[in-house]
Amino acid sequence: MTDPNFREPKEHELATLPDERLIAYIQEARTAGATEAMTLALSVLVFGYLDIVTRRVALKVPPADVDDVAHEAILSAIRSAFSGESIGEFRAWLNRITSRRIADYHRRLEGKPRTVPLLSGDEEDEAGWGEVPSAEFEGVSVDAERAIETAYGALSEAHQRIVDAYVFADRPAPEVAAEEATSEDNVHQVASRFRRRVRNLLEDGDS
Amino acid sequence: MADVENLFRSYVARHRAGENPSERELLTQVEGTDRDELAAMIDAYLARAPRRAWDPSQFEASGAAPFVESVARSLQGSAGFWPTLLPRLRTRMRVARKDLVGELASRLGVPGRQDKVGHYYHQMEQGLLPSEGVSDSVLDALGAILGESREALRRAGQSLGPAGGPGGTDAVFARTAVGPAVEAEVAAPAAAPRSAEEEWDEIDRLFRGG
Repeated sequence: MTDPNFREPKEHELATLPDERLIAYIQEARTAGATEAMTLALSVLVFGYLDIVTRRVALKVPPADVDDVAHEAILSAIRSAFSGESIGEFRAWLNRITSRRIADYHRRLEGKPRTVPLLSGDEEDEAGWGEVPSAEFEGVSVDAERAIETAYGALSEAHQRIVDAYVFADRPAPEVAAEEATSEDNVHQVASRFRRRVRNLLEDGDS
Repeated sequence: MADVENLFRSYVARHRAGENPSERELLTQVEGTDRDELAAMIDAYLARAPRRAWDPSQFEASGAAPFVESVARSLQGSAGFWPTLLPRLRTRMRVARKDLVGELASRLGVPGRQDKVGHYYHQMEQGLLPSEGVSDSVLDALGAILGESREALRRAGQSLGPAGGPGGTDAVFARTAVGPAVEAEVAAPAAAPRSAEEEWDEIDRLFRGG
């Protein structure tokens, strides 16, 4: 039975809840036995991040294993959130977990030949499985992201905001300049210095 | 050779517009350090990208629904995250369920009792079997088949604490289309086929005796 005191928000309300509120709501719905509401909120959360995580994994993992690693990352993050672990901000935790699961994947592969299933798509119990060696995957170095972290970490908070807004959120330079009370030229310079630093770190391999 | 900055900006613009740009395709346009730089920039962009706005029709089309349902089963069941983890491990190891059950029965020393072992394994995957009752012997055997340690399986199966009433569980399983047998199990999730004490056997002990 669903707890009669449990209030189910409308779908559009759920969709706009920030991550931490959404997770708290999933927990409340679970405790109240409101399974439909819990599943809907879980769908909002997973849909919101699965594509992003899958794309990040696809940069570093062969296509045949991308979904598995992406699901594992999402699952680990959700598990931590519901096991009472102190995870801080869900998004930051999910990013960390995603990087870890990618690293775990490569550790597991060490010394093992890469294979892909003969069958793909939905797993079908009655169908047999087979394996063939996969084509060589020219993935991107797992450490490449450290170059970004290092270059980004060396910036002042104000410059980090400029890089976030202008480089990663693709907002117009005049808008960012106005928001940060600086010149448009300065926005370009900060972005350009950041990119150059990333490039140097990658070339030097000392990220 | 394409310019990294332009490729990156075009990727971001397309992704933010709701298109489906292929990272892999984009990366084939550059080589060496350019490729590493582009990948690192895309990765950093994605790590900061906002949560995708909820869209029920896109959700249905995305293929994420079965995954969400397995997570929901995990949150509602009494076996922690086994409903999500066990099928995934099975898929990763390319093991069909009937083969897994046969191997599990054999490793448990009951090769002729695949039906009953299969029944319990099914309950594990559905989150219907309280994980604390499942013996180390079962987890050792399962771990050997699925490439996981007993400890990892035990941890994954740890209960998340009591969930709400059984009405909720019905709602989750109603969408899984596993047939009347499982629906009957859902109605009494903790009840295995044990109507009389004499029916309790070695397999019950392995899966429910702790």
